[in-house]
Amino acid sequence: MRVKIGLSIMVILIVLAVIAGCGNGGGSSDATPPPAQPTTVVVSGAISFDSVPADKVSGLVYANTIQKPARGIVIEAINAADFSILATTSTDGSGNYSVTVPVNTNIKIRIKAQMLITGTPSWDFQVVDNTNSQSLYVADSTSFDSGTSNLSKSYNLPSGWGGSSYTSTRVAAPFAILDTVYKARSKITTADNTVHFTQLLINWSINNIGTSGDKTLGQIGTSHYDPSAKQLYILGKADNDTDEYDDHIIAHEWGHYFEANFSRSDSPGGSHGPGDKLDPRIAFGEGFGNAFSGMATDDPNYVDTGGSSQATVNLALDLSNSNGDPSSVGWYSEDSVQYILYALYNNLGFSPLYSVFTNQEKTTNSFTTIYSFIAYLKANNPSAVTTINSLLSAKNISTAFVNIWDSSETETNNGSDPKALPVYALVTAGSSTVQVCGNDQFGIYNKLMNRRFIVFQISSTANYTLSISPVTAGGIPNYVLSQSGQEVIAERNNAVSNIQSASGTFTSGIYYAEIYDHRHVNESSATTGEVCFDVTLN
Amino acid sequence: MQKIYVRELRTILMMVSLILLSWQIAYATESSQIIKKELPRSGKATAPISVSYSVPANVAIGDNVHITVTVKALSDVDNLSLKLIAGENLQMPSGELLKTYGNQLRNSAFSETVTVIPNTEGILYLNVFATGIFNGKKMTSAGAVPINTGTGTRKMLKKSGQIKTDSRGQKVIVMPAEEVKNQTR
Repeated sequence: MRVKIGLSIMVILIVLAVIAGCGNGGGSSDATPPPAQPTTVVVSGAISFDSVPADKVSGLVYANTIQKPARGIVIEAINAADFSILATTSTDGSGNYSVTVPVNTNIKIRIKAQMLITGTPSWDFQVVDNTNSQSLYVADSTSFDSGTSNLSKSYNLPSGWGGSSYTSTRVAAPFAILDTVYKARSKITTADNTVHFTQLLINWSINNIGTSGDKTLGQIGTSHYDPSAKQLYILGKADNDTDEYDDHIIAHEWGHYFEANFSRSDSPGGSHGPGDKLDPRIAFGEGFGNAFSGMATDDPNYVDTGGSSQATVNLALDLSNSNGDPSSVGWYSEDSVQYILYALYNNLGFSPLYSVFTNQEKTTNSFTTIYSFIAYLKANNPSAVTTINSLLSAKNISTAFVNIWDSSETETNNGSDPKALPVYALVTAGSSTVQVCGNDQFGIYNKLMNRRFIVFQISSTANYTLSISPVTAGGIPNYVLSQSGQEVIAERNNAVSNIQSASGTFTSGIYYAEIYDHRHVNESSATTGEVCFDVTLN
Repeated sequence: MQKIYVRELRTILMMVSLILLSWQIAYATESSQIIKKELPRSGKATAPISVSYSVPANVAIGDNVHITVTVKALSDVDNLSLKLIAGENLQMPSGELLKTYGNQLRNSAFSETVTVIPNTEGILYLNVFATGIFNGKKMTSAGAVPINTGTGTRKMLKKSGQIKTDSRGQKVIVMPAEEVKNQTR
C-alpha cells in the first residue's frame, strides 16, 4: 500500500514537471519557437575533366592523364521527374559551382559543354555533335534526393580510355576543347573586356574523320574553321586523327574565328605547311593562327597527335624557333610569320597586337599580309621599331618598307624567283604597261607566284579601263579588284585566253588587285609554268 | 480468246523482262563506279604530301574491295612512307601495309593497291598515313578512304550518348558524369 502511494506521488510529480516545462515553452515570453523547416538547400561542388597531355615525341600520353577544373561551364540543376530546370549557374575559375534547389526533390546535375556569359563582355561557345543534328554535349549525374541539408556533389568527366583503346564514353573530350577556348577567350578579354563574341558552335564527334564529304556523317576533311558556316569543325576519330586534346590545334582554329569576326583575313585558304612558299595572305593568316595558339596557351610547343592509339606525332612545331625549310624564310612563309608574331607577343604583350588586328588591319586598304600588319604596328608603337626590325631581319624580310604595299619596293627577298618582286606592282594611270608574271613552280592555288598583286591610285574621279592582256601564249587572265577589303569588280571564272577589262567610273583613292592565270589556281590543271600579263590603266 | 490471252501474256512477260534487265544494268553500272578523290589538305598545317585514292562507289558485305592509294611528294622529301590500316569492321587479309620509298624529289608519286573486306553495312574506313622528313622535320599526313557498304550509311555512326530534348527545346546528347566521392571541401 505504501509502495503504491509512493509510485503515485512520483507519477504526479513527473506529470507536474512535464506540464511546467510545457508551460514555460508555451505561453511564457521566454519560450524558443521550433526552427522553421528549410524550403531550399545548396548543392555545391567541383567539376573536373580528364586532360590527356600531348607530347611532341609520344603523342597522347594517357598514362599521364590528370584531372583539370572545368572552368566557366554552364551547370543546371534538373528536376529528375519532369526535367524542368531548377537552377542555372556557371563554374568559376577553379571549376566550382553552387546551386540552390528545393528540398526533398529528386534532382540531377547537368554539366553542359557550353560557356555562356551575357552582358559585357559576352560569349556563347558550344560544343555540338555534327553527326547528330548538332546536339549539345551534356554530362548528367545520377539523380539524388536534395534532402534538407546542404550537399556536396563533385563530378569528373572521364576520357573513356581503357588502357589500350577507348572503351567507354569519351565524356571529357568536349570539355577539353572548351578548356582551350577558355584560355583563348581569356587572352582576348584581358586586352579588351568590352568585347561581344558572336555565338560559336564547335562541331566535334567521335565520327569526325580525315576525309572530305558529308559533314553530317563526320567527313569533315580536317580540323578547320568554316568561314561560310562560321563554325569550327574538330577531328575526333580514334586511331585516325583526334584533336580534342591537341590544344594548339583548337586555339589555332579558334584564332581564325577571332580573325573572321574581329579583324580581317584575305587568305585564299587551301593546303599549307611550315616549309611552303605561300601567297603572302595565307602565310600571314596561318602564321597568325599558329602564333595565336602559342599566345593563348602561353606555350610555344605546338603538337598535333594522331595515328593508332593517338601515339603518332603528325606535326610538332617550336613557335619560338624556325621550323621550316631554311630556304623558305620570308614574307611568303607561315613559319616566318608565326615566329615574328609569337616573338612580338613575348616582347610587347598581346594588347598592341590586338589593337592592330581589331582596328587598322580590319579596314586596311591592301591585302592582309605581314606588310600591312607591321606597318600599322610600327606606327602605333614607335618605341618598339628596333625590336620589330630585328625580328623582320631574322626572317629575311625588309625593315625599310614604309607603307602597307611596300610601294618603295624595298623588299629584296624574292623567294628564289626574281619575278616575285615587287610584292605589289605599281600601275600608273595613262602610263606605260606594267608586266606581271605568275607560275606554279611552288605548287598551285595558294602558293607564292600563283597570284600577283598590283596597286594603283586614282587622283580624281573619272572613267578608266583596267586591262589585263596575256603576253604568254594561251594565258588565261582572272582578277579581283578591291578597295579597303571590299571587292569592287572581279572575274574569277574566265577559262579562255583573252583580254580582261574592267571599265567604269573610278572614284579617287587607292585600289589593289590580284591577277592570276586560271590554271595556276585550278587543282585539276596540269603544270603550266610561267604566264605573264601586261596591265594597263587608261 | 485463248490465243489472244497467250499473246498478251507473252507481251507482258517480255516487257517485265526488259524492265528487269534495265534495272540490272543500272545497278551494275552504279556499283562499279569508281570514286577518285584526293584527301583534304585545307585546314590545320600538314605535311607537303598529297594522297589520292580510287575506290568502288558502293560495295556489299563480304566483297573483295580493291582500293588504290597514290602518295605524291609536294616537296623534296627523305624517308617517304605510306601506311594503310583497316579501320573497324574492315578486314585486310594481307595485314596492314607499310611501304617505304626512301628519299624522293618533289612530284615523285607512288601507288599501292590493297584488298579489304567489309564485315558490316555502313561507311567503313581505310586509314591512310603518309610520312616524310622535310628539311629535317618529320611530318605525317593522316586521312581515310571511305568504303560505302550496303545501304545503311547512317547506321554505323556512333553516338556518344542518348539524344534528348531539354526543357528549352534544345537537342542534347546526354553522357554520364562520374561522381567524385570523399572529396574534402
